[in-house]
Amino acid sequence: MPSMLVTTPSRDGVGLEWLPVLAGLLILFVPTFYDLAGMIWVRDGEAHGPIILAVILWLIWDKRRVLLDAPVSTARAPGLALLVFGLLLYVLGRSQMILVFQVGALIPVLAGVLLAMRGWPALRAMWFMLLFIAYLVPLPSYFEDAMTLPLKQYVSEVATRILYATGYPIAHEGVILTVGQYQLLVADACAGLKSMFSLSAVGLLYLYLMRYQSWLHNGLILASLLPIAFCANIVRVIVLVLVTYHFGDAAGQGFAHGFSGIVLFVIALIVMLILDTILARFFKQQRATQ
Amino acid sequence: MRSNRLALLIAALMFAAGIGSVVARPDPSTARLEPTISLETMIPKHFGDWHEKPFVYVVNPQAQELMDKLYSETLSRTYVNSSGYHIMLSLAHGRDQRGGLQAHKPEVCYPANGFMLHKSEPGQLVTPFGEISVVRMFASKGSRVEPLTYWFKFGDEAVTGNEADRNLRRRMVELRYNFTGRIPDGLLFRVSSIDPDQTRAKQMQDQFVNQLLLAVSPAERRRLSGLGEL
Repeated sequence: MPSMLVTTPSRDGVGLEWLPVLAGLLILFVPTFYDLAGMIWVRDGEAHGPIILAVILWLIWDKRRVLLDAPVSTARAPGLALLVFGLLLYVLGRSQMILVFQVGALIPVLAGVLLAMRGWPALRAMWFMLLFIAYLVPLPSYFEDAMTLPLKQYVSEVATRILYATGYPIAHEGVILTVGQYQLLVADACAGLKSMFSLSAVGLLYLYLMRYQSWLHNGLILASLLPIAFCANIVRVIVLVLVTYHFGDAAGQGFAHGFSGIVLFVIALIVMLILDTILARFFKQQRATQ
Repeated sequence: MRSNRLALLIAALMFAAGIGSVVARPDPSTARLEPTISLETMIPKHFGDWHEKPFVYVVNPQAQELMDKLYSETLSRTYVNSSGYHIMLSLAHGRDQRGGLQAHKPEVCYPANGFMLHKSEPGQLVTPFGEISVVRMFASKGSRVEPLTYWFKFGDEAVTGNEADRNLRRRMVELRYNFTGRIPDGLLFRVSSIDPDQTRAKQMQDQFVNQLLLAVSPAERRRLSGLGEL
């Protein structure tokens, strides 16, 4: 621990050694992110990409002292080994257009550079940033396909049951809902895979910033993120069905495209925050009684 | 200063990787697409015991837009044999199946059309030319019960089979094509019949595929199934 607390006062010119490294990183990853922006981020439900990138840059900025201060220790051999592994992954990913490798290579590349230049303490200080890079990696399409359909079917099933129980004339066949005179196709977006992805990203970031000491507290919030996102999707489908049923198809479509994704996300976030407030109170009380 | 030298070494490695990734990339101007095929003329209207019957409803994949992007050509036909058994044949060919452009699977488009998917498992279709890795599915919608058999030929291999295996095989074909400067094409071959008797449906579908593969030329057979010599 003490090694992390020792900060040698920064000397002039110590930051300059990063310039060649930065140039190298830009040469490798500017084209990657350019492709990512053109191919992935423009898609529906992928708008979180640039935000994640901004968060990563902020996380680095937040820990800039680690980079700017003179090294406490270095771990050259493991660092360079990790870097070379990352670069090979990058070459394979970039030349064969395997985005998962190309973007994912950023993790070993940055980790390797940190290790080689600033040693294990720097890696420890930046672990969350490195983990968060995983959210930049686009999900492989086969994974998405394999997850989306069962999710859509569950969402349709549960939404239909709830509405039917409350007396609406609703039935579903596969992912086609029939309510009164209307037929709604539960779209891929309603599967909520993307919202699970972004809610878990926000949830992780939140936990990182809150720095709760209790593992149970952290674990409970983490475990609740996916069920919350799933329930939010059911709410989304139910609201969509209700809007369509009461205000017509046009209103339903307008709602679906303009509004419901954001509402969904905000609802999910609020539920998470409420849960956290309750847990925080509970854990504080527990600590007080001990 | 030593750390400056280290930084330069790291930068040099990165530059090398940057150059390496450009050099290793298949050149799009020389990458060869497989020749186009005309499904309409390639698949005979009469073969073996089967002949084409005017159109009967065939399940359309969920998004026409996506279909047009993925496939350069599609073909849907219904055939009937001498004893009156109907088989629906659906083919889709896409010339460029790299990366993001990936074929649409019946597992996705049948449920999306309101079918219940009861079964979907990998299997082998035996032909005189070898075995084809296929998926056998069984879907229903109301009283319409539809067993079906399909395979997906990616590049020169039928890469059907179980999910994990299929994606790995696709990747391998793609890498092999890239390194030899070719672009893999894709062909989705699907036969189905409206028949509550799954065993009979499977027999008839296998017989249909066998007779079709016998009726076409060796080159066409290879393009349809990946079987046989070049």
